[in-house]
Amino acid sequence: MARDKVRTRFLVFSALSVAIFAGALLGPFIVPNDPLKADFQMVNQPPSARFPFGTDKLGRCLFSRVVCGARVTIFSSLALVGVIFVFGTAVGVASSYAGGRFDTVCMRVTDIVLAFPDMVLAIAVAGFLGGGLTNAIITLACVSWTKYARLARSQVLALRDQAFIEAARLAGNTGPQIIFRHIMPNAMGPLIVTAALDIGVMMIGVAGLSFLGLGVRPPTPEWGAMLNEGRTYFQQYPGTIFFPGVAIFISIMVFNLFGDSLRDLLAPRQPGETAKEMP
Amino acid sequence: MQLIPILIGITVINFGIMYLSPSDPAERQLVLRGIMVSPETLEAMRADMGLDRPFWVQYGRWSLNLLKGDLGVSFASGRPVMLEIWECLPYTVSLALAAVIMTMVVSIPLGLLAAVRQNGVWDYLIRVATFVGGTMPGFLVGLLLIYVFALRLRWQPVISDGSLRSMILPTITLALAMTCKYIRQIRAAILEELDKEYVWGARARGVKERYVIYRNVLKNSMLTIVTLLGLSVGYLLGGTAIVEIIFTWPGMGKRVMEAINMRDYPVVQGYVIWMAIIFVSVNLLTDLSYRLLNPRIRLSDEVA
Repeated sequence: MARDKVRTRFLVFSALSVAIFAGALLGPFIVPNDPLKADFQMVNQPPSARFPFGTDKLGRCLFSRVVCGARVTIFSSLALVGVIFVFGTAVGVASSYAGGRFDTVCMRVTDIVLAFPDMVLAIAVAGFLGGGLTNAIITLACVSWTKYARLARSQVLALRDQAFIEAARLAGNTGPQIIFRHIMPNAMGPLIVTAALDIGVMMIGVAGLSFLGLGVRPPTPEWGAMLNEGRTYFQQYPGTIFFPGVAIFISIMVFNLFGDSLRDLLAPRQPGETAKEMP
Repeated sequence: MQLIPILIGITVINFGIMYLSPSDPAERQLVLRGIMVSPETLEAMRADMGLDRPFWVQYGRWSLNLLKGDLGVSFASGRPVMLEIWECLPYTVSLALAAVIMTMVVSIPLGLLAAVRQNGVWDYLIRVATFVGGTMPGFLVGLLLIYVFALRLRWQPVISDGSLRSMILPTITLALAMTCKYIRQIRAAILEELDKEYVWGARARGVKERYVIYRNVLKNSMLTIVTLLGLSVGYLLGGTAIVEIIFTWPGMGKRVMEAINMRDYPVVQGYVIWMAIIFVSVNLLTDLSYRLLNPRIRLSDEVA
């Protein structure tokens, strides 16, 4: 009964997420105007038939910019989540499987990165590397892969000594076979949930760095950069921050709800399960 | 005590990034002093500044200076970085503190209310509101607040001047996401506490519900709040940067963004170092207060 509800919720939010991806992917082909074309006779216009969301300070179509901006914001966040997921998991698995000094070094490095405030480190790295979308992605990847390394490591450690792994080893499987065939499939659940919940976090990160001028450079449409450009002009026309703001808010919300429902689906937490306390 | 390797690690990373960054400090120094940049003068300046030495020698010198409190000189203004940071630090710290206070004042009563009226209207409203509030990125909240309270209603100045009045909007911006998270965590902690046997015991003995909640449950849930506070310092320190930019609040975050735009690396370095120091010391304090608040940890330590 409750299980059905969880499944329905998951399906609804997956569908919504897919819809956002599709919109972001197809956006540039369906927009009414060129998102980069400035028209100084149509500056800060309110919404009209030609410009559904109005225009910005340079007379560019806000609707087209918001739709095309989805591509940059969402796909860079996705790419980012993919990179840190693979890299972090690889480090975590390798370090727990290898053990010894390699493990110690890896874990100390994650300690240091985890201990330090993400955004401060991101600002520092972006500051030294300079702006640009690639650098923003590198920056955010540098500060956020550690979560996965930690999680993967603890998952592998929990599985490593179980009977079925022992059995697999006795059956003559090699190290890589055990890792990829037997350990990884069982360790994936929590990692995938973390990745799903991270999409929204990374969107805030990409948009936040762009907002600070350390990410995507104008005139490329990106939601955080648009908010930054719009904030000097929103007295004349509040739509310049309203529309990109709503876009970013809705997509983060959908991805977060999707992550939540995925977690409920994969790891149903029984009520009272957490109530176990230390003696 | 594992904080010391973390601090050392941060200084190495910090210095390493600076060492690898494309800009040449010797060249900057020449430009700053108005000397013509030529291969010969560059060479002389490099030797003079010790930039021709190997990485570890440079790092050693730099960290020794750091221990003496010398963070170098700003490329842009020519003033000591320490001085520049000391001027901005109080603004950032007061903003962060104000946000913490606001979070506490709002989230404890609301978390309690949601927990006590579990599955009621208030609980439902608070849960929806905290989800929405927790989803909003800080920069969006800040812009919306400026639009409503500064531009439309004109209750607040658009540009902060560091006064108490102009601190209200930045504080709300910084505190909002934190408050939402806290409310949910406090609600969960109180619910968990309410489910424990001693609560039923106290109720069975006829102790007033109000007394149980304020004297026992709330007190025991304080541990959650202290843990949360320790975890939030990182968010707060990073969050101040964005908030300071939006509201032009004269703190360290705004200063470091200016420094980044001017490629003023010593100031950026100083900022990171200071953030690390604040972060590590607050975490230490959290640990200590945790011991103070939780007799179980204290006692098990003494026994062992």
